[in-house]
Amino acid sequence: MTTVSHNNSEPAIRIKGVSVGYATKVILKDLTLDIRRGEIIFIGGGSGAGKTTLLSNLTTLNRPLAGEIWIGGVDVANADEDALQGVRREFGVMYQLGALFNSMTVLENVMLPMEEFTSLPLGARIEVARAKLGLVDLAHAANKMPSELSGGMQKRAAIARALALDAPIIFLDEPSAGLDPMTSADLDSLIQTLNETLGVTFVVISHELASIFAIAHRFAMIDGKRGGLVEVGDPRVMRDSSPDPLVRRFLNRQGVAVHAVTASA
Amino acid sequence: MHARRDTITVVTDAQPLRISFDDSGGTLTARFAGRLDAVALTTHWDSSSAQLRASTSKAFAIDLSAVEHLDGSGLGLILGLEYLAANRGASINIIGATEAQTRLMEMARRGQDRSLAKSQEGFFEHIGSGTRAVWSFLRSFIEFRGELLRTILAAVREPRQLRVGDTLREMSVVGANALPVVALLGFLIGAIIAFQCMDPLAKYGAKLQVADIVGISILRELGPLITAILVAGRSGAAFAATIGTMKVGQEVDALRTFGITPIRFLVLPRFVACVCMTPLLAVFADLMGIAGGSVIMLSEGFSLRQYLNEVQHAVDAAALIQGLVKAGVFGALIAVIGCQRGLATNKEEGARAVGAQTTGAVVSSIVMIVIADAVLGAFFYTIGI
Repeated sequence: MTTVSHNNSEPAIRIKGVSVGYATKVILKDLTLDIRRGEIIFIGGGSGAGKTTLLSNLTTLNRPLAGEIWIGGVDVANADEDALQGVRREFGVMYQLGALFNSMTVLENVMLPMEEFTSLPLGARIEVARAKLGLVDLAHAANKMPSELSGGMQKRAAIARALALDAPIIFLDEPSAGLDPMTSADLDSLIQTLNETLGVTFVVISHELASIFAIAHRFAMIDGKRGGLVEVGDPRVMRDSSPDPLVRRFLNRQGVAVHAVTASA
Repeated sequence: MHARRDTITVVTDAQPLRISFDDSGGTLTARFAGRLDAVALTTHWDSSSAQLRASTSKAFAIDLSAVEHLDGSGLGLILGLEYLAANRGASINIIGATEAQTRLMEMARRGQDRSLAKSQEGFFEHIGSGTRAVWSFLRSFIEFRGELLRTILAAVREPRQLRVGDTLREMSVVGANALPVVALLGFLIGAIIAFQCMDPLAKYGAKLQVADIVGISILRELGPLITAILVAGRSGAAFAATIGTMKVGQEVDALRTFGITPIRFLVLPRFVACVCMTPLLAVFADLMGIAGGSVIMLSEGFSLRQYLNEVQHAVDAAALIQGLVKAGVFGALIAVIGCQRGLATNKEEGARAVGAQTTGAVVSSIVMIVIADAVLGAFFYTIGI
């Protein structure tokens, strides 16, 4: 039996002195960051800053070289495989390309985690999966195959699948990658709505300034060359008055159109 | 084993779900209190839907005023009950929902249309789509061979067309890397044939003729056949999987847009490698088979010289050439089928299509090898070799 603690006073994820990288190369060193419950936090940095490596450590695919990562009262950096299986129910992940299973319909993709990890009867699984597809406005595509969906729809279906087990934390890897600005803005507004209505904590790996300024409560800038975390805070404040020239330059890139997020998803 | 979600202890302040039903005055009211989540759904799905089915009321109300937490699974329960009520023609009323809960329910109800189930193919559609599939397969089969032949002829006229580096790399993978397994199988097949023939021939005092049987069967038939089956399993499958994965990853499309035909870039090196290396592997299998037979013969008291003399007496160059021609044809079949299967991968179906084409490549190759073996055997017999 795995005990996962939902103590509301604790952060959703506590990253303490974490170093990530590979055997021969340290990419991020001594990174400390608390991710608060119910926030939308963007983690960004230049190409090669270590964003994807950090994500693979946070989602327990790899272990950090040093430090602790606490999710649901378990240190996933040092826990055994049994404990990790319990913690993995605590978060959902949307991968950059969606990673939907091509041989299953959209509805079956969303039902798969429930089939594996709950004892819900079939009728209930179908209703829950339908509700989740409704949340991402894809109920009409429930019986389509992933290949019949556009890029933006595939990402929304992947979010529905990440929501399948009602995980309190959702990781999104580059949600805007490969999407046009309008579809990307729609996705941002969906993330914001799910955050407001379900209280889901969103950890978004992205350097998309339009999205950062539109929906991020906080922005954490990481940079491998500088060690680890450069600065974390309100992205607008950081843009205007960060003491760090790199942060100001990153958040003040020219030609960025901040898109308006409509209230409904 | 996976830990099931319901074994996780969730430490939380909110109370587990309680549902009370009130069926009076023509309205069935379900009052929810506590956490309306996945745990609640597991416990209450069957009982609440049974309650709704048993009721005769024409109005249905869901009271959410005492719900402390509603998540996506809880939404599933509400939607399911709404659907059941709607099916019975009952009016539905949600009361006591917060603004956020109302918003969530509105979002979840969007686009729900249960009539959109996957359409089943009728009998005639099934025949039609089957015929279409056979036709398109035949068409691609002929087109592929035509294009391959044209590419080979072009490469003969202009050898620069052949990518030598790729071809040598494929030769090494198809040929050199297969040597250990070909050696093992060849040796064992030779030994097994000698061993199985020894007893029946001993009855006629013809033990030495075991060498004839080993020589003829290995050189003419089994050497090339075993080699071809191995090459089909190792390399034919690899061709289909590699090219199939490239197709899924749009690498084949990229080649086409560069103006490079996949046949020249991907198929020709593999075809040349297979046609050249399968006969060489077959010669190696022949040698190992004869060596395998010698072990049994030596154990029966014959000398190595006696055995080799007998083998030499039984087989001639024609038998060896017959085996080599067969191996070359088998190699060509393996390369053509493996590459064609890879290129036929449906990129929309992804990983599953790659698996299906790889299996198809091995099965079709082996079937075609055996058919070609029979045809060539009859041909050589007819022309008297």
